[in-house]
Amino acid sequence: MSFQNNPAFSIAEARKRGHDIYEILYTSWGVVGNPATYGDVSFPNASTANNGPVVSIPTSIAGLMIGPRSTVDRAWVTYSLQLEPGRPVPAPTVTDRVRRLSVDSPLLYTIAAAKGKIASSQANPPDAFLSQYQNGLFYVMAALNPQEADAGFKYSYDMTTSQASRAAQQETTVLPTLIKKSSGAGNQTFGFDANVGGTIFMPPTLHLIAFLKAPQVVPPSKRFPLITSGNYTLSGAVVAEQCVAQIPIFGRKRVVVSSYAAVSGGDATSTLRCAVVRAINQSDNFVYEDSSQTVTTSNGSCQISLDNPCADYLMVYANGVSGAAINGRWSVSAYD
Amino acid sequence: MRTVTIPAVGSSEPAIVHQAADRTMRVVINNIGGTLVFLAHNTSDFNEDNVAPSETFQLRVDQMVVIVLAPTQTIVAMARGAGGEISIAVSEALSKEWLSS
Repeated sequence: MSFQNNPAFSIAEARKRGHDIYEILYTSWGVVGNPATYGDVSFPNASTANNGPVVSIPTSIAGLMIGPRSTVDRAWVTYSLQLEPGRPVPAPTVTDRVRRLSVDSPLLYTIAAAKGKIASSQANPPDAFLSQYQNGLFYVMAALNPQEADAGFKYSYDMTTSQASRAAQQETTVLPTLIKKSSGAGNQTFGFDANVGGTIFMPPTLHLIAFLKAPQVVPPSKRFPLITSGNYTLSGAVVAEQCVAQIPIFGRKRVVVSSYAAVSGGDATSTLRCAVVRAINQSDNFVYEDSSQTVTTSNGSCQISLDNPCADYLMVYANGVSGAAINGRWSVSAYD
Repeated sequence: MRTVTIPAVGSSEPAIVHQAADRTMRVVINNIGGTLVFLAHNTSDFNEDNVAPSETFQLRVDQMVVIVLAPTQTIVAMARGAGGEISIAVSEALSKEWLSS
């Protein structure tokens, strides 16, 4: 069976060569930065600061699934309604027709494409809900609406209910710029920390498999195991808790964190704390960490197991010790 | 034998898959694209907007069909979405040599 994982081919070119599938890999899926650029919130990139709008996926496909290399577990798919934009007239009641793609729910039916592009910009980023309603083009998106929504969550199934009474799903995997920490005051950001030598920020990866032909069997829903590790150093001048690793564990059922910390200066102890980020959405004020477990170690190793944490991100923190340098290492294993 | 790209309904005129000349022809049609393909003998079988083709033969993804064309008869096609594609093989259905024996 031939297969396609060379991004130099377009889907249409892969089909002309008789390939069975077309693979798409985004290694910073849903990372918009600050200020936001929206380059990695849709496939094809619908809007970036540099290259402007790009046409939608031009070819209908027989199915779509999240592939094993993915670390995110969900995405939003718009498709052709096979009506011209603006049809029928008068417009029907606005209905949410965006398809939800998750690891456990591959789309095993034709996803129709149409020719066109959404005219979005930095000021008006790609919006799956409106794109589907107004254009009906084939895109895969990292959120129903990746734009920051200060007042709450945009777009639910009920468009008329007031914002205050709405209990909408948080339909996004776009990383927020700030997270309220679960331990102590302050916020945590995604990205590298200047106070820590060797911070690891692992951005979300999206791996899509587009079936160019009808799949012969129902594909397995498990992702490839996520195994990673790193080292960190904290100088004696760093006392407060520091984030040493940020790992995307979207929907992983079992997560084990192991750590070893060598604290110079004898009896001092360092604390390892794991927290998880749940309910990611675009509004900074709504994203909280949930503390999971804390262990104290002194020149030794420790292990934290998270059984079905139902979370999107794992945050690993280590405490600095006044006057004592800490050399630590950690590893994370996560399985579907 | 050839492969034909099929336009989506509502986008343009149907693609002509094959037109038989003065003899009966056998056409094997394999849907190698990712979307449903509608087959018809006449362009007029697709309605005015080319949107709701009820007078057509529908060929699902990865399905193959053999259609025999009478002399001068035509097959035209449209796809449900963009990027429809079929592969066809055409041969004479009833050879004149066989008929005359």
